[in-house]
Amino acid sequence: MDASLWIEFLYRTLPLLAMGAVMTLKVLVCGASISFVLGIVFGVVCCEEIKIPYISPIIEFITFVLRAVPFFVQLLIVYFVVPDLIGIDLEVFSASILAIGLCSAGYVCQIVRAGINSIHVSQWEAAFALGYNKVKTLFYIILPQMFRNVLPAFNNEFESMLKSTAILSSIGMLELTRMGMNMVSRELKQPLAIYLLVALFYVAMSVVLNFVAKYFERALFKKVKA
Amino acid sequence: MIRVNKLSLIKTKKAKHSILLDDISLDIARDQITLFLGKSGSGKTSMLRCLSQIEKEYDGEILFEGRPIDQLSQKERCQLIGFVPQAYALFPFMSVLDNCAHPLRAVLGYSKVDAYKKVDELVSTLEMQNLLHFFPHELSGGQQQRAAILRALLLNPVFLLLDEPTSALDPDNTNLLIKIIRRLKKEGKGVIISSQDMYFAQKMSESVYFLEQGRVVQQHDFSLDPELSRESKLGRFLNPDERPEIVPFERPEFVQV
Repeated sequence: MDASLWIEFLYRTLPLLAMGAVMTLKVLVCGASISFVLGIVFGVVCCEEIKIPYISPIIEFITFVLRAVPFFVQLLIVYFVVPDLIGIDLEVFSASILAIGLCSAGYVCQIVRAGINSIHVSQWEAAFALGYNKVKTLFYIILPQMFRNVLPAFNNEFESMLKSTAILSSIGMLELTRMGMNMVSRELKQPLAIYLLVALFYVAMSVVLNFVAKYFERALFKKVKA
Repeated sequence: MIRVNKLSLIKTKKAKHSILLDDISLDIARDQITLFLGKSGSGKTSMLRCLSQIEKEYDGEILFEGRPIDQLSQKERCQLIGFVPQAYALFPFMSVLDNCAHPLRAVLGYSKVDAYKKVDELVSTLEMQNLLHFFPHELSGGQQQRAAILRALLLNPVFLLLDEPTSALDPDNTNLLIKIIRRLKKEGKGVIISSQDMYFAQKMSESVYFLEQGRVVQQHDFSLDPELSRESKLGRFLNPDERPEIVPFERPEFVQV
């Protein structure tokens, strides 16, 4: 293929792949928000200092199940089974962010729980002696230290979420991988080039994610030496 | 005055009971320095943890002016008792200034400006003026301790509790600490200290409780009676002339094969 054909090929494929990448990012941001909020709440409730009778064991069991069941199976359950069970119509996008958010929440819960437990008990005691209640201690003293400790683990988890979005193509979500698959099946030529471009988009998104994580890490570590 | 009445603390782990405090009754007056002395594991720190309510699962009662201390609100409690733990436990992501000002804002509801002003008012008494913008890891042990004392004092507690305050201090910093504690006493604060440092104990001596296996085995008030029998347990602890000599380590002879 000569240069003009390559340019024409890129001119046709890049905008479509970019649209797919935008959709992937949308799913990632929404899913990560669900996972982040749920994971922190679950992690806090399961940590040693806060454990609530009856509630913590139930949440520990739920997060165990979320981690034990493969993401693909969870996706199928959320998209095909749950809407039938409760009689609602769940769109592909909603099912995708719900499934990816819930699955990741199980892992984020463990990261948060371990991050809080790793902070020495003397920090809780010092805050208590100074008159902080548990909620204030958690928000003002423990969580800022926890975030600093677990930022690399958070980065890992959200990178892994980015890769998991490719599985959403199986329920017809028009994200980056699905877009590439559609183009290959429509044109029936240049599959290598198209999939390489898809891979490049994933690498670019990973670079951005890493850059953001490094920025936060630097901002937090600037103040405190490990 | 703090009245401790039949205080016992028992910890259970793997069905084994360990008695940390055993039926202790005593009174601790305001504007006085009170020392809990004893060897490691004698119950000094447990005593301070109960007084500061970090340890709550004790038997017996601790009263302040006739009121059970465990019924005080968080705010009342922190203005009655300030606790400086052995490891100081400064918040590592905050500067000394924020370590000191944050409790004022979060617990007593001060504005940021008022909290910083209050820190400024007290900082010179502990010789910390030049260290306010440093982070805990940038300070020496003695400086960290003074920061922790400043943080506790800013809440204006009636009693200040210091757990093993000299365990990581050199003689200069120990003398500075003694100066600070004496000044606090003059200002009307009660200071309650746990220690096994004999030099520090002799310098500080006022009302002393000697603990062994969770029990008070001897009490002595140096302000009433400066003389202490060398034959008593406390006397032997403070004047350890008769302690067994440490046998020097003998290098074993190598045997040539």
